[in-house]
Order: sequence, then C-alpha cells, then structure tokens
Amino acid sequence: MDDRIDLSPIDPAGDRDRFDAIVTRIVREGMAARAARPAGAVPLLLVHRWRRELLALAAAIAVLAGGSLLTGPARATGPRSPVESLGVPGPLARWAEQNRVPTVGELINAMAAGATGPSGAEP
Amino acid sequence: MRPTPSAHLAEVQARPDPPDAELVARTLGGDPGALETLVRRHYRTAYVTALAVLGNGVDAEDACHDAMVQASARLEECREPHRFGGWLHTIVRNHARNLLARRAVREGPPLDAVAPAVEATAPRRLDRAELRGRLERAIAMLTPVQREVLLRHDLDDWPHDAIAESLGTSVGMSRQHLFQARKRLREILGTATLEEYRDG
Repeated sequence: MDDRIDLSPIDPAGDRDRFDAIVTRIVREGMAARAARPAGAVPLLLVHRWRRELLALAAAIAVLAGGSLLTGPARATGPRSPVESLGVPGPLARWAEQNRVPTVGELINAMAAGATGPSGAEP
Repeated sequence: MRPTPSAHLAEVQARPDPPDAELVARTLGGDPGALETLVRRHYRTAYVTALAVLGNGVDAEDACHDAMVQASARLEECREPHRFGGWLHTIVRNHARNLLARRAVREGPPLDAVAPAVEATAPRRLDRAELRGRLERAIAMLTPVQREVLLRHDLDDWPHDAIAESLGTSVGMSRQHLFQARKRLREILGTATLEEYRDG
C-alpha cells in the first residue's frame, strides 16, 4: 500500500493562473535576455560550445605535424668543410682542399648537379 | 511495472510531441512558443530540485526563475539538446546552492507548536494557501536528502531506482529516506492538518 502524503498544495502547477504567470514571466525575460546579447556573443558561444572538439582537433594536428617532422625525409646536410662554410659550392671546395684541377668531365658533372640539386658531384 | 532509471530519465528528458531537441532548435530560431513549452514541461522538476536544496518555496521559485532565464539566454551552450532536462537541472541546482550560500533561509514558526493548536481548534477548514505554507515549513524541517527523496517521489512521481541513480545511492536507501521523511512530516504536521487537506 502506498502511504504517500498528498503534496499537491505545493505543486507549482497546481494553481493554474499562478503557474501561467510564472511561465509567462520566464519566457518574456528569457527571450529578452536572448535578444539583448551582443552581436558577437553567438559566435563566441559557439566556439565555447565546441571548445573541447576544437582543442582535440588542434591536438591532433600538432601530433600529426610533429610526427611528420620526426619521420620526414632528412635534409642533405653532411659535414661541411671550413671552405664550404664560407659559401663556396661543395665540389669547388673539395677540389681546392685537395689542391687539384678538375677535369672537363668533372666540371660538367658539377654544373649539372648544381642545376638539379644541392648534392653536387663528387670530385 | 516501473521503468528503469535510464528509461525514466530518458522519458523525462525527451518527452515526445515535440521532443526537447526540436523545441531547443525552435527557441534558438526565436520562437517564444517553443520556449514556453520547454518551461512548462520542466518547471515542476526544476522546482523540486530547488525546493530540495533550499527548503523554502519562495526561494525555490526565485532560483527556478533566475536559472530558467539564464538557461534561455545561454541555450547555445546546451551541447545535447535531447538532454535539455539534465542540462537545466544542473543550472537550477547550482543557482539554488548559490542562493543558499547568499541568503539565510527564511523559516516560519516551528510547526511542532502549530499543529496541537490546529487540533484543538478544529474543525476550521484550512485554505490552500495555509496548507501550502504549513507543508513548506514542515518540509523545510526535513534533512536535505529526505526532502529530495520525498519531493521527487511524492510530487514529481519519480520511481525509487531513478531517485537512487540521481542521488548516487541504493534503492533500499531511497526507500528508507522516504519512509523516514513521511514519518517525520506526519509528526510535524499532526493528524488534524493531514485530515484537513485529505478531506478538503
């Protein structure tokens, strides 16, 4: 047997007129509060609403970018001689260090390599 | 047969025709009628939440009003519109707790003293406002958990498993709190008052 106590006297919807007045006031003030928000509030609220998703996306991008930096092709950066450090092209620096004159073939190879990439032709 | 807590809460949160999610979308589009339906649908549960925290009808109404106006203004922040009820419930509870921290809860005269006088002078009929006042003051004298269980069960028709889930306790404890709350309320109100409004 349910021996509940009748709480209907404190039911906020029990007095129909009073309840209608309460609801009307909330709706009027609620809609006014919505209308009174500054124009920039909605985009900011949308950003606020989706902040967790945006943070997760940013984190994912950071992880992917970091991964590609770590696993991407390494730049051709071998040990540089003091002459190369001064800006002299690699093949020329090596011929100078070895104190010898390149052959015509080596010169052609070096120029061809210079036109296509930084690796250069070995003397 | 009682529904499970999840089924009960899901029903409360997404009552059909039209569902909460649709009403939220229409309110965001500027439809005051949709907001009115949402307010009517969720007011009693919001009021029970606030009354359980505050133990005072006037303060509970204030907390509900402020929370619902604020919720309307911030409706874009409701991330799951089909769970509008749960979102609103959190806002109302926070408002009620803040209000409790700011205000000393208004208390009426102790009902232990009032009830015998009523018995002695019966059979004068109590009007609804008087009953409401006595009931509110009596409920204010319960512990917060007794208030919450009593109001959820006897005013908002929640089953025990849903109340237990909401309070993070067991069904058995929910039943125990309800039993104690009803017993205490009967002691506070006195037989005469209870018979007055049972007959009225």
